[in-house]
This record gives sequence, structure tokens and C-alpha cells, in this order.
Amino acid sequence: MIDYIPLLVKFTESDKRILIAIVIIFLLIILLVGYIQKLVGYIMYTQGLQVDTMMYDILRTGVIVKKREFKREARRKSHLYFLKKSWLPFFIFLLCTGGFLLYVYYAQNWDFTFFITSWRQMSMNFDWHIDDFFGVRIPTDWPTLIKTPDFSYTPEKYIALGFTILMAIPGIIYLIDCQALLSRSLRIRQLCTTYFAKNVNKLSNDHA
Amino acid sequence: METFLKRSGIGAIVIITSPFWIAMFLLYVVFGTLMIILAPLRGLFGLFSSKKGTFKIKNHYDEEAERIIAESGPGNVSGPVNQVPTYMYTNNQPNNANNTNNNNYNNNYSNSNNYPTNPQQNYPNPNINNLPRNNNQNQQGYNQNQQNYNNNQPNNYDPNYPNDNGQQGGNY
Repeated sequence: MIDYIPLLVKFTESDKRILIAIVIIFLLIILLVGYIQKLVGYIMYTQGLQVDTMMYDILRTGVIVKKREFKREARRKSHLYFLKKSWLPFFIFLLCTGGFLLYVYYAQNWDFTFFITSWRQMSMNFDWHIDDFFGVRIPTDWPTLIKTPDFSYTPEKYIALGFTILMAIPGIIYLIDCQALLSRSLRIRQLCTTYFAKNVNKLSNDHA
Repeated sequence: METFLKRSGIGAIVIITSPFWIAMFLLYVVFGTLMIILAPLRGLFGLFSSKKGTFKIKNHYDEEAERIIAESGPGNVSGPVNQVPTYMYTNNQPNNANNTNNNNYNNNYSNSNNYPTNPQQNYPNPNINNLPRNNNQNQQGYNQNQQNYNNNQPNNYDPNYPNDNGQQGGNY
């Protein structure tokens, strides 16, 4: 550790500024990730509350009193709920993927160049002014638009656009359903430890 | 500052453990896909098995729960948590569904020294020494003021009265 101290002392003013900038950027990134975690945690908590909706009456009436029985029944309900919610997006996604592969087969375009070039034509291109900032090359000004999207009609372009939309929307819905399945599993796990905990305080209304 | 440090710490932990969460999510995507693919097979087996309603979310547990709620009324069901052990009670209270004398809920108690005035403490006297019960003792006036009392659910109070913690609604 002592060997490194002369190295830190040798830092120039510019080096120190770079170091401070890097530390601030790093802190901002982990802070942003922390807040993203908070948002994702909240979304997953609300998704997990579906377990409460499905199991509330059963637990309230005391029909299920064993932890193992609760876990089995809650999982069964959660899996069936997933099936009911996600079969349609999954089916549409599968259908669109099949249609896309069928088109590629008939067009004999297995390297998907039609798809890539179509999207290049339909996207914008920017020119970023990259310059030195405390010794680091980063964009230093707003970019200028050098190419506007070209939506002129060609079949390949609209096939690429259509398949992308038709595959992306059900795909995203399906992934959200998978996230909800994971959230419900975590909620079941949580309820197993909280609801069925043998806490003596629960026996007393004074400490409930 | 504390919030900033806490959030930054959580962010750092999330970055470190992100491979685990991503792997778990992908595992659930694969699991869900397998479940959907195997669902028709499951339905096919369900046709030949004795169990009916393979794809029904509600099953006999829900039917049982609905039956209990229908019999007791929606506000009168309390959960198995916070149950006070039954040996603490001296009274065997009948299920008297026709007795709806709820207006006089507190009046008899307030006139008697044997019962507390707080309606949340209206459960029967505890049998601390576990002595044999004297059914004539402390019974008068009690049965008349209990609505649909079920001894298996000693916390079955009137939901309109808050308990000691200020909770209201019958679910304690």
C-alpha cells in the first residue's frame, strides 16, 4: 500500500481531474442502477401481489394451514395464470417467426441482408462531435443529422418493418409475463417465510 | 447523504449480482417456454386422468373457501394467524346465526364488572389455571351479544370495532 502513495503524489493536476471525473461518473452510474433496481423491485412486487389475490380467500378462511400445501397450490395457480396470460403472445411470436423464416426461405436470403439494409435505410445517421475532455475522447456537442429515414416503398423494407413490429410486441409481452412468473415465485417464497412463521407475537393482539 | 449511500450501495450490489439475476430471468424464460410447449401434452394427459379441470385456476380449495365465506358472511371470517389458543377459553359458544342483536353490543358489558368495556376484549374469560369449566359462570349476557360466534375462530369480533392496534375490518 505504501508503494502506491508516491504514485498518487506524482499525479498531475490534469490526472487528478480525470480521476475525479471518472469517480463521479462511476458514482452516477451505480446511483442510476440503484434507482433502476428500485423501479424494477416495485414493478416485480406489484406483479407478485397476484399471488395474494389468488390465495387470499383460501388463507383467510384457513382452508390451507400447511406451508407445503400453500407452496404447492400457489405454484400451481401461478403456473396456470402464466399459461393463460402468455399463450397468445407466445403463439403470435411463434407465428411471426415462422412467417419470417418462410419469407427468408423463399427469398433465399439466409444472411438476412434484406433485413439489415432495410433497417439502415429506415434509420437516422448522426455525426457526433467527438473531442478531448480532460484527456478522454467523448461527444462534446449536440450531433448533426447527416441522413434522414427513407420510408419510400420497397417490399423488403416494409416486410422487415412489419415482421420487426409483429415479433417485438408479443416478444416483449411474453418477457414481461416471464418476469411476472419470476416475481410470483419470489412472492410465494416470501409468503412462506412471513405468513407461516411461528411468531409468538402473533398470538398476542398487543404485539400483532 | 444516507439515502445516497444506500442507493449507491444497492446499485453496486445489483451490478455485482447482475449475472445471477439475468441467469435466473433467462431460466424462467426457458421454463415458461417449456411449460407452454408441454401444456397441450398436459391437457392430453388430463383427458385420461381422473382429475378434472387441469387448466382451471380455481379448484376445491377455492370452493371450500367460498363455501366458508358464504356461510359466515364476508366480514366475519378471520384467518388462522393471530389465533388465541382455545384452551384459554371457558365458553363453548354455539353458532347462533339467527342472533343478530348487534345494537346492544356494549351495553351489557358496561354494566357488568366481569367484562371489559373495550369491545375488542370481548372474548371469553381466560381459563388461566385450566380448571374445569362452570358453564353458568360469566355466561349470561354473553351469548346474546355474540353474533355467529365460532369457538374455532376466537378473533371473530365485530369488524366495525378496531382492535388494540387500531386495525379495523375483521382481518387481524
